[in-house]
Amino acid sequence: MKVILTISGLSVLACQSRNPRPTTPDAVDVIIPDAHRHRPRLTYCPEDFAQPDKRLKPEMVVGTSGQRLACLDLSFWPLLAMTVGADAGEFSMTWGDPKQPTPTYPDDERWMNWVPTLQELGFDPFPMPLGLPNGASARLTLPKGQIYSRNVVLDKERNYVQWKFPSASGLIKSVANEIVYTADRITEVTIATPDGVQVFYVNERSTRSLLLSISNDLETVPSDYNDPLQSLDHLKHLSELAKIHDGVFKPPVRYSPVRTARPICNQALFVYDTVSNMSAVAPESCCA
Amino acid sequence: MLRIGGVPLNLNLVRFGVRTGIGPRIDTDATDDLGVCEARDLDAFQQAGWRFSETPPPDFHGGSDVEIGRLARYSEKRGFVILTDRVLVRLPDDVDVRSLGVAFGRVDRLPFRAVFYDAQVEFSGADLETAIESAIAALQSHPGVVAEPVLIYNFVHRLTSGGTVSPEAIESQWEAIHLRDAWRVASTKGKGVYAAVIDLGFHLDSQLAIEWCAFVPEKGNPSYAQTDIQPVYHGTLCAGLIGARPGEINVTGAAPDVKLILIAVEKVTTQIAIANAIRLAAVPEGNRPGADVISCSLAPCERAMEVSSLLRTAVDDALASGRGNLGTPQPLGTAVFWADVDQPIAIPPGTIEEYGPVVCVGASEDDGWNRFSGYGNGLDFLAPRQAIVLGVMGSSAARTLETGTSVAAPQAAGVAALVLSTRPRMKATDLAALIANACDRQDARANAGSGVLNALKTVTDALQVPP
Repeated sequence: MKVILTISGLSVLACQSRNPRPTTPDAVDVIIPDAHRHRPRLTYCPEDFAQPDKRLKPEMVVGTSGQRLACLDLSFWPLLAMTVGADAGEFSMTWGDPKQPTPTYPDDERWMNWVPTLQELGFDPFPMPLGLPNGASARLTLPKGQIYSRNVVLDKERNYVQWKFPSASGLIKSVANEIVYTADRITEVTIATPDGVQVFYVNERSTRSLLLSISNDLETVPSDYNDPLQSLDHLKHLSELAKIHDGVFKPPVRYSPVRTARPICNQALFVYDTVSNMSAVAPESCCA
Repeated sequence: MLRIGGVPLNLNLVRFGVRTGIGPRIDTDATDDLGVCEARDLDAFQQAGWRFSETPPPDFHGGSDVEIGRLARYSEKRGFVILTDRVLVRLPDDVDVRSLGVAFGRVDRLPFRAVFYDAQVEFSGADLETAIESAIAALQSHPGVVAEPVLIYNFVHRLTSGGTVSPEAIESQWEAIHLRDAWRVASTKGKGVYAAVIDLGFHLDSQLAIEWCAFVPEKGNPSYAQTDIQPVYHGTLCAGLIGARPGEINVTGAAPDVKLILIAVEKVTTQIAIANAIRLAAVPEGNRPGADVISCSLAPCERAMEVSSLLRTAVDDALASGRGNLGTPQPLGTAVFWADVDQPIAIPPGTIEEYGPVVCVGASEDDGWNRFSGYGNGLDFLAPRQAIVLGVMGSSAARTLETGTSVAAPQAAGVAALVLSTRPRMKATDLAALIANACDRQDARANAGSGVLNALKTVTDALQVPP
């Protein structure tokens, strides 16, 4: 079995590493900021897990193909850890040339370059505790596996949109809409609270792909969802977690002459070295 | 003090909790002294088997099979957590958690990280917080050990609220719009003014000076019976932001000396119901005084539709016929303040928010931007998107932090009430223009209409106008 967890919506991928561009971080967590009108949700196929615990009350939602999905609001389950049974090796992330503003080949879309760091967005590091960080509404600890970016934002002409980051000396680059976690050749996937309440569990030997997502999107679809977007103002919500370095959030602004098709509610990367001293790894200098 | 990630928790412990099924469930009537609290706040805990009591239950001690904790208000989130008798511990490799000199009951290694443990702290007596604090201090005296309390969370109110309120925040409540200086300059806090709030319902609390109230159904006649007013938090916070008087909790509205007219509409907020409410507020039946200003933070349920002629006419009539009893040749008009759409979008054309005679108030950030409210045609100005509001449950009051355009519009209406208190014969149209002109101008990119509400400049400018 292969598990594919899509991380979408406003969230921070916190990586414990001494390398500012970690390829094999020691630990990875999805931290979801407690943002206005956003909901942290775990979504899966209800055929995969019929929850035995009566306290779990996922909503039944329906995908565009008519597929029924279970959608669990994490309000009461904000602190979760995922395990995949046998040791899946190491964490693995791929990085490309930091000077490259957009992917050149399709595989380049997997580079973590396209997930802006907190520092690039103008935020200070925040303390990474063992439990739920201050200002977070949920935290999911990931097991070892491969992590990559996906769905780099395109315009209507299928060109990569570029964004200028005023808080990173004018850095210009593309931005991904999602992050993907995957682990292959596993027989078990568990997502549980620290005291053992399983909010998701599958145990089987198969070759299929098990699909899950953790998201933090707006409660409702805004009426301007398909309107062009000039700047990634939405990322200001990360201030629930991290302090804005100079007090004024300067959102990445659209640099490409073309316009995006729709607003995105995306992620940021946060690399910290240890839990105990809470200091962040200094970012590499980036240039446009 | 207990901390997570170095950040103090500031837990406000309110109940003892046991997870064995003993003790009564807390029903909503018994939660008054927990502050702003609804059944759903605690429902999830109670479904999980937790029971709470004011005094320590007989088996309130560590080391048994009984799971114990303290119900607490969480310092940074509105809602409740349970402080458990367990700690989360991260150890250096090859260190045994039981070798660290702390008495533990059950110790579980967490499956997701080999060096993480969930350990139950053994103690006796009722002071759980001190026991946990001591255990954490003892653990962290060992090099490389990190320990934190284990909380059980329930962020049920996470979506609509901010956090708890510090004394500093209360003190600075009105700084953003310079209201305290405005009170000083005006020498009044809204005396003699009637402010109407249209919402889904209200807690008819003693901290609100209510002149009269009514329930307006979509069809049929209004009812003036207080028993027909449902207790709805949203309405209470809007009313409190305009006219909460000093009370048990020292958070007042922008114009605490106003008299409030509270008009509840049916939960299906059709344009017909809201139009009827506006008419009733501005030109009421019988000998009830009409409103000098009206504030509405509701969205008509037919938001997608253009504003109906009925609602448009109701606003027009309020402006034309409101305040007709002041001895002037023509009625002075009642200004209608309306909360902007609570999304960062261009205000949809043809909606009530865009309708010119309505004073549409958006929500500003600390830096004056309005990233989380509408912009474009129709937006008149902004007011702070975050404010401490009076939250009321039953007979007890609490304070909390709320965000959104629903918070912004009543602040503007409150400032309008201050102006009318000093210049009671000012026309409604002049009042709206005066407030807009006195706003702090913003960078054009801020999409802030005339800028951000400034109560001091507004009142100062008003005093330049002949009475």
